[in-house]
Amino acid sequence: MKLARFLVGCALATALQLLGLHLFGSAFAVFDLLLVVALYNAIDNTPVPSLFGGSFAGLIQDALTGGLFGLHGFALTLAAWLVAVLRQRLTIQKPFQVGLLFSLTAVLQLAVIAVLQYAMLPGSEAPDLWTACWRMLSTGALGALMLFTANRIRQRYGAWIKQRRQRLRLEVR
Amino acid sequence: MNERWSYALLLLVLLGHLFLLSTQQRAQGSRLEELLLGGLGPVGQTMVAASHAGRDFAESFRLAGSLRRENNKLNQELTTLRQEIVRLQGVEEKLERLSREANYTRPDVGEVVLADVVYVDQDSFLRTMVLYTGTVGTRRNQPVVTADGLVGRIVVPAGRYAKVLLLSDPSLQASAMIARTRQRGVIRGGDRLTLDNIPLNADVVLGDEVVTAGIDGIFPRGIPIGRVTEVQPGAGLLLQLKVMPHVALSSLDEVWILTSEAVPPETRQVLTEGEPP
Repeated sequence: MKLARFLVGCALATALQLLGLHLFGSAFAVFDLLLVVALYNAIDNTPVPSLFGGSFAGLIQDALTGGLFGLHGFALTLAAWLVAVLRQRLTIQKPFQVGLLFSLTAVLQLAVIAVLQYAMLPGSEAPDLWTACWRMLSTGALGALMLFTANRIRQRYGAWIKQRRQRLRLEVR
Repeated sequence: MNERWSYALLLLVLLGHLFLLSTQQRAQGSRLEELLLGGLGPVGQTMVAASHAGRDFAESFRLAGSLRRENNKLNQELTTLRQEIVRLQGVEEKLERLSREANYTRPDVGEVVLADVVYVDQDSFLRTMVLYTGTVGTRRNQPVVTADGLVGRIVVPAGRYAKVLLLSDPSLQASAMIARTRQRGVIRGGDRLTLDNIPLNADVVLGDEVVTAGIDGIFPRGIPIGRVTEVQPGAGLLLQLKVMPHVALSSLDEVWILTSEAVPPETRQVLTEGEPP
């Protein structure tokens, strides 16, 4: 179930990212939807599926972007694994906490990409600072929003199930 | 799964990625990349088609009143262009006759293939775009152009899709020349293009047209690149010119792929055979 949800998430994120970039051009580059999906998958999983999820999402990014193939794969594997480990060791439940964690991980991902890029191709450009800041904010905000929405849906669904069970019990009596 | 296994797997996956990174050269794709690009291409294509459909629908309402005026203007333009074609056909015939008389063989211009732009990546340090080329086979280093000028070259051909290294990428280099004086140099990509290797005493004025020189074995001669916007001293006895590209890379929907090879395969084979082992 989690795997299917992750794959659907990746497909949706890819489609939306492509659509956004086509409609809004480079302004949409402040959003990294595949990163959000990989981190959201990590927060809901143990480290091993998370690192494979991160690796998969990263390779999708690598196929679509122009950098060396494997750059995003490496960075997202590390980021997703770290989020899953932190989630196991710390109590991270509130949307604000998740937002903060996602923001910091987005910075880590960009830093890993920049370092690897510089190591493999000396003289390559450093990432634009403003884009990095905006991506950090957008990743955090999207992560918090996703968790908030998922919690609300879960609550409503739980309440609906409970109400329905009560009604059924009354009818049986 | 215990923690030790988790660490071991992480290490293994990271090493796998590092291996993948270390086995490739700049701006050259791997087999896995080609496979993923082939799989993701249709998603991008669908999204582009959806956004075009939405835009067309909105446009049809917005432009309903001005269509007649636009139609008249286009008809006038069509008449002018037809006259121009007739004139150019005459010039071409004359040129061919003169070439025959002078025993001059011009290189084969080849055909152009129209391709849809699926995705433009302007965020990464390598600026690329993905094209849908359909059943037309593509190969590495094929030039990509529009009516305005040079766009880039293909770096990863992947079946029905191809990845193109854009002119705005710092790693793209091509031989170029100033059209007016035929002074050759090397054009380097970036947000603002630079034309290097031009001597200090060269005749350059702002606004000079820069075109491909056709000596790099990739781009044929005469493809417009841009106009000189700034002239400054470069290293040693050379000038460095800033060039504003003609093509707006962020607003491309369709491009043309040139099928001709600047260096014919037979010549390339002879050159390779002649290289020392």
